[in-house]
Amino acid sequence: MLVSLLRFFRGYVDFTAKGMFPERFLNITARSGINLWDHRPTKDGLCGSMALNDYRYIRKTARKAKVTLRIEHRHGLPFIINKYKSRIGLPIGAVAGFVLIMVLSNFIWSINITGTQTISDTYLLGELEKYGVSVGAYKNSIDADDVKREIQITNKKIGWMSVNITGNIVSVEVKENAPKPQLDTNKNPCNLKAKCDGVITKTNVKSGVTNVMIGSGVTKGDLLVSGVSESHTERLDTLTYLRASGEIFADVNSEKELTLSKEIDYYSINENTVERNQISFLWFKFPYSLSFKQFPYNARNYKTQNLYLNDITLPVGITTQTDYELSKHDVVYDSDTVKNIFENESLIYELFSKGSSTLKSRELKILEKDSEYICNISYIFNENIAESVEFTVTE
Amino acid sequence: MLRNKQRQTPSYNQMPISMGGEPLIEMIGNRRITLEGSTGILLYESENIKINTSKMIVSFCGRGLTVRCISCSCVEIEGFITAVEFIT
Repeated sequence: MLVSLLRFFRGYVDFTAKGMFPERFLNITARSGINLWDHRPTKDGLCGSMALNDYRYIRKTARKAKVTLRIEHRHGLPFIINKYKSRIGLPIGAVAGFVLIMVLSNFIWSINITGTQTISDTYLLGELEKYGVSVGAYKNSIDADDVKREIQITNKKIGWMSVNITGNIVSVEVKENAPKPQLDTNKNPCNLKAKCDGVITKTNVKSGVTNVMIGSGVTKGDLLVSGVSESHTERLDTLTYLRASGEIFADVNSEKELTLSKEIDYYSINENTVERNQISFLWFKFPYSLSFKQFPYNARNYKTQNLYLNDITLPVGITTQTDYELSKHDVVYDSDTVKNIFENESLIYELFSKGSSTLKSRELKILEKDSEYICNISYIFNENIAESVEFTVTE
Repeated sequence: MLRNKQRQTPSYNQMPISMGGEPLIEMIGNRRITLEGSTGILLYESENIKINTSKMIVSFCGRGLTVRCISCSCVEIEGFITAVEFIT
């Protein structure tokens, strides 16, 4: 096996020696120390094999022995190299490919994150990058345990985390902490007082003594549900201090003022765009399309598409940067548009600021001043106005 | 013990046998022959191989005879050997 391998690397030829004295040829080669193998007699000479180097210097010997040498077959690496000599790109490509694989296998190609629910992947990628884990990072410089520990310490939302480097891919698995429920463990006695003015519409008292009735009006700070329960018997008057709880719903008036300029500068995207493309390879970015066109006002968008092969995101992709031109318009609002805008803003306020309240009525009054519109909105919300106010027993 | 054994069985090359220019022929059945003391091959055919030594010509007859290995003083022949002839 080893001999065959050596022969392959050195190269060898199968030859035939025809002539008057093939035996003499055999004797001379033996004396010269030239190694022949697999030689056997033929009808008018002999055939066998010898190393390529030996064959180059055997001509003289053959002439002495009056035999004619002829190569039947060529074997080994030198002949293969010679065959592909004209295609020099082939071996160069093979070597370059091998080197590329060797080099690239030392870097991170992609990061897969699983298990996130409330934490965004972008945030987690940023955290990983802080500790040197990013696409294109040198794999051997990453201490996965250290990264995992540091991120877990700084991010209280993460309950459990694992960072595994498999080949060139970093797999990050995250289990988030379950949020702690807010339990009211306070046992100090308290009253429920009105946090704003209103007319009571509904009471839902769980503990305490109700001091108001449906239809009664209350002002801010009025006692709604008392935490002091009195009981009178013939012999004894006792006071019990409770932690009052419950909901007191009331119709509450509230007002809001909105302003809007009559004329505004409005920017809108028009059809003019400029695209610039880059080929991204690990941390390198090579621009392959350039544009020197610039817009005074623009909105920019980045889109990255990576090669995806066999469930693996490869570190090769195309990033397209698109600049959209923004056109500036001077907009003068008319009364209908202004009304729509104020109504929409009012709806946003009702939805996000008064989400737990029920809207009973809304009234918009739009006034026109010098350079702006002013909108006064009067609302009537039905909402829970009770708030806990603790008291000490000495009171 | 081992040292004594080694002393008792000297290696083949150290054998104190004087050949006197005679060829040394070693046969493994009738399939392989090693001949030491060759001065050259005189005839090389598949039925007959003649090897010259300093004092005689050794002729091997048989079928499918080939020279398996050859050096300046040693020839190894393989094949089905039917006769060995010494020509002086």
